[in-house]
Amino acid sequence: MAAARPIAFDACHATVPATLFAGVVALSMLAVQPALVAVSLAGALAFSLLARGVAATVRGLAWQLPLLALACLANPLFSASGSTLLLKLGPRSVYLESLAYGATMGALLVAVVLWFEGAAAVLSQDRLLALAPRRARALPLLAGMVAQLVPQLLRRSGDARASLAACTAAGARPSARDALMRTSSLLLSWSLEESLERADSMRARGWESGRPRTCYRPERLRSRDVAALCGIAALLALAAACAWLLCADWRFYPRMTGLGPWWAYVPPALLAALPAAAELLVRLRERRLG
Amino acid sequence: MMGERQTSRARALASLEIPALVAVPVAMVAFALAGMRASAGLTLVVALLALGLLFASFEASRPALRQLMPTAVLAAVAAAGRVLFAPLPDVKPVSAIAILAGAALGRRSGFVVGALAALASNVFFGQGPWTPWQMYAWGLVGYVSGVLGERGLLERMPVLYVWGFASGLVYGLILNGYHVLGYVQPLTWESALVACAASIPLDVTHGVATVAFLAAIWLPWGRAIRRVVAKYGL
Repeated sequence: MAAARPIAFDACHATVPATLFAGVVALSMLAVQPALVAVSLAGALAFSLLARGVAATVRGLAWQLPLLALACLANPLFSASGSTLLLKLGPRSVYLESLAYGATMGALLVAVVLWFEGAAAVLSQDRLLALAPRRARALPLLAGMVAQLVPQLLRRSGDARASLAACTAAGARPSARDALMRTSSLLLSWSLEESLERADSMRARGWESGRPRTCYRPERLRSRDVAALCGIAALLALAAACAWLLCADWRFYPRMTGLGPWWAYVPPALLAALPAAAELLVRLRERRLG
Repeated sequence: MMGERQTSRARALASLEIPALVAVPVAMVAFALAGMRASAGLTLVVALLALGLLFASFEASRPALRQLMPTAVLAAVAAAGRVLFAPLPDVKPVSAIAILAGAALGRRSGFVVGALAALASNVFFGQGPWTPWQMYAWGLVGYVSGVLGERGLLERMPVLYVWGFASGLVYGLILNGYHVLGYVQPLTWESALVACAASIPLDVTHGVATVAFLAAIWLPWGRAIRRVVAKYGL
């Protein structure tokens, strides 16, 4: 069975999901309040389950949950503070408030990683490069080349090692360090020479000729994309104002207080649920049509 | 006219490079001392702005295609090296390659090699809130190496090795700053020192590994780069 692939943002311009995910991540990272972090984590988890599938999400959680536990336990060890003593570990006291801060930051870390993974599933490398400004020339080229070269180098390192190991006529087998140096120098020269030849062939095709170049844009910003962007920006502004209000009320120390009014959670919850809701709606519509 | 405007823009961005790089640790210390809430998020914004400015300055310098290629190759080699050495904790060649790139290709290319290596290798290790910090830290290592290289200081082997070791500690200090600001609360001198002390063995390992990688690659890779430079008349 094919792995799940997000489809909700396929029909819109890449700026729409990019703005949405950047906004959600920024708000999650700036609003350090347990309930808001829980809302963000729930939204990220729901989107990951729907868009990336259960198997990929569970595989990710296998290393993310220990990271959450580590962040949760590290804070009481580094900084013992609070009013509700839970236990004493030798000279250090573990307080509920300190543990809660660690758990909040651990959950925030997992939520942000899940949002990043979700964004990476929606925004392919081509779509991300298409977001680069028209005048940017060097960086999109560099990013594209590095993305191509890394897997190529990893593959070639195996080929080079196998070829060198097969050359037994050259004498005694080199030490591991010498073999590594030989392989890496060989790969570097190979890639450098090839890249310069590529640069020459790009120049032969008109790159750097000084004339303005046309650029194929697979995606066009349509009026419905602009409307979606305006809606997302308005929801982001409202959610940011509510998050500000909630964070101003909240205190971890000396005692956890100030959950704030319930209605202030509605815009951040809507924002966090938006990607999953969009994905669910598109999948339901697709199933009905199919 | 257009060319003049471009040159003045490039010059203005170049003059902002060092203040932007310095602003990140200054913001970290200032936000920590002020006890600001969400200081981790705010310092991340400063780090992202510094990255954006350095990338814009690299773009404005209009590097020629033949100069872009070695930058891309070294960034890819650094990223692939990090992936290959992943089983050994904190033994990674990225700092050493960023130092070599800074010395051989200049400060801006050194920064771009370090930053892109972090971004590209995290495709394998996982992107997260640490990615901009790693990009900044390795970019800074490459940039400082470029500055040292321009003054001819990296030709002296003791200076090269001292900077190689220090680069591991600088990288660790920046990543520790992100950890302390984000994950240790309430933030006191004692808690910050305890959190930083916990990572000293890893940072020292990183520094020693960088020196070992520099000792191994400085001459042969430098020779390989010089050979290509001579062969293609760069």
